[in-house]
Amino acid sequence: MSEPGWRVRSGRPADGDLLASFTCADAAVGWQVEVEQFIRSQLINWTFDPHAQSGDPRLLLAFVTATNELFGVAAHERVTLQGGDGARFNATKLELLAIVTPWQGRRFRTGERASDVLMSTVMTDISARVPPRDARVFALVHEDNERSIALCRRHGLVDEMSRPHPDYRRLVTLHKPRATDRARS
Amino acid sequence: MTIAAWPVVDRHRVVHAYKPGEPSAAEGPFRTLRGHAWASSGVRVTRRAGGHLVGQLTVFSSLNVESARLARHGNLDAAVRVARAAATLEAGPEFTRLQRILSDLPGHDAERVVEGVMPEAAPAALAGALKAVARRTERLRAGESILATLAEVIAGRIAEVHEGYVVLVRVTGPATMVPRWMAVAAQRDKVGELLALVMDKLDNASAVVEAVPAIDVDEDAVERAFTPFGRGDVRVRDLTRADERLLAGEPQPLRILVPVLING
Repeated sequence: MSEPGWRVRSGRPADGDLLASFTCADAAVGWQVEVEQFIRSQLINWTFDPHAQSGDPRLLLAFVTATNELFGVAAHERVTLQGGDGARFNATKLELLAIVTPWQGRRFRTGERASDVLMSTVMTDISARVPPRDARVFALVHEDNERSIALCRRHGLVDEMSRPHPDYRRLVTLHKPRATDRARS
Repeated sequence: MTIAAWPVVDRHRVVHAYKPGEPSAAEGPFRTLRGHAWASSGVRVTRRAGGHLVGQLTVFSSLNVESARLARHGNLDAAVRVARAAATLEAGPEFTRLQRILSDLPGHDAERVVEGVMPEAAPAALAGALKAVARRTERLRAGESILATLAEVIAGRIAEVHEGYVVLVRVTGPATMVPRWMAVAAQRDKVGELLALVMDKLDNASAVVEAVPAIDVDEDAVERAFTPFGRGDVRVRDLTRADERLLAGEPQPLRILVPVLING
């Protein structure tokens, strides 16, 4: 079996220099610039913040095997979602997922989209965490970011919660009503 | 600066708008309002201390005051619409955030907030949550044109305090004298505080005049700013009741489209 066209590893504190030149934004689009700036200047601190380790923050870097080019970055961590009456739900927040500009919309020779490889990396990593993560995964996506909305949908983030801000949608993995609820309705 | 009436009320204020002059603690009028869908159900705030339940109160959107007033004036369809808008607001993220902050307040501070008082030790997020609810309230009010003619509201800042009256200055427009006892009852009798006078017409020659606390609904820079990144913004983790219902379902297994091996 041939080697896949990509290679993925966890991030390290020393990756700061690599991320400092990460380019994924159109300079005219504010929400894209915000992603890029966060990756360049804050992502390493976010990942390795000693006060945040209880959330098991994870940084994942994806490279093109043939060229060793960094083509994507993703990060996630465990969070607790909270309702007004004290209800709490464990979940994973997809902190970010970004593909470098030259690889946006591209596929590997074997047909896989670069974005699907990166999102699959995130889902694989979440599935493998110890202690196990809850199957609830959510992402905040700018409402104009149609590519990311489509990507989330392909990977099962098809339900939608309330918006934390008018510009941002909060997509979450599919939830089916429990059997007791179905019986009641 | 945009000044609006305090966005949350207790049940007494709703009943008072429906039956001015009658005991506002009476059960009957409120049952009537609810029975005809002229008032929403409000949001229950559970107060705890040391892990124990110490009390509950029900907080209503101030839109219920308007719907009750509409019902009294015989505008029954509009009353139902405005009560429905109140219910929508109470189920929304802004109200949910406020509900949670109120639940965390010590002692009887939550009741004080509903009365229009900001407790001294209140978290900074409380003011933001109240403003967010007030802004949403004003947007919903703006969508119901009949409310503009139902009652006249004079909202402003207290510029002078005298023995028997305070001087209320609007952002633009003339000053108004308000009896000081009314300002005291509205928890607003100091220079700089925000107060609203609501004149609710009874007939061509008389009106119910009520002094109520007010709030500046303009956003500050912190409220406007939102970033989906980092851990600082509680809005990322806040849930509405609809979110809770969704998440109470069974999360489906994660979908992995491409097999990936992660090193290190």
